[in-house]
Amino acid sequence: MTDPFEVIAAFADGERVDPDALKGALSDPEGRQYLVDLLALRQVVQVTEPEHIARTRARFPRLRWAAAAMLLLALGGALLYTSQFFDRPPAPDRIVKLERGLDWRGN
Amino acid sequence: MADANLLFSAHRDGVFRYLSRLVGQAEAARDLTQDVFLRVVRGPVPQATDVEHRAWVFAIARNLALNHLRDRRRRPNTVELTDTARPATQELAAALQQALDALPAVERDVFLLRESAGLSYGEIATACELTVDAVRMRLHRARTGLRAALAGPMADQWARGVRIAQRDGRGSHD
Repeated sequence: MTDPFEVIAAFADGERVDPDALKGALSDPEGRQYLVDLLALRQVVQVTEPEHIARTRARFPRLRWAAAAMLLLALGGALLYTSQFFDRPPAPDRIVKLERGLDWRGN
Repeated sequence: MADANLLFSAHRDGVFRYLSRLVGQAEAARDLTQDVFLRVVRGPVPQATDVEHRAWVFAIARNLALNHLRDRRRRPNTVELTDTARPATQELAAALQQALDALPAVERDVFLLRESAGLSYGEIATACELTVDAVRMRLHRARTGLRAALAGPMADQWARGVRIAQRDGRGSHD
């Protein structure tokens, strides 16, 4: 990396740079101007983000809340459903009547 | 091996932002973002580091976007509807889009992967199949071109003040 502008750009981009090379690059007024331009350009990109990008970003948290609410509803429903079995015994599907005097053991 | 769901939640914002800038249409960007992660889910996720996974996901996004743009150019009668930026910045957004469109494709890709998606030089190199030195050079050329084309709007930005602000590539920025 020998171009002083590339050193400045790498620094602004969070890349590792040689401190001496950066010092040299920033000692030139043109280098300092380039750094300011680079930051201004970055902000131009950010402030001109199309509206739908901002909307999409905002929608993701709502989706998470919706998923959490659905999970809670499902858990609540399951609890309600199973609690029916704890409150009362299940209804019989066959009734066997035993009469006094009959041999219930068969034959 | 990384989970496809984790890759989706980590990179969907960045991929969508990058594709939105590249194709300029919200619906197309949404469809392409979906296609990217369908490919991620369907194919085996390579064993790699998080950084390599990010580069891999963006390489898929870039290829799909290039195919989409190529197909769109083949359909001359298609009406292109560019999504509008927030009203106060519409003119600025139009100037930026025009300047981006005037850049060579690779320079535009490298610039958007850096500024819209927040990829590092190494990740951009992997996604675009370039060397890190080539990424640095292309990025510099792209910025020089944009700097010349956007001198006026950037001067307005100076008047408002500038600060160090970086994309972290995971969907959070100011």
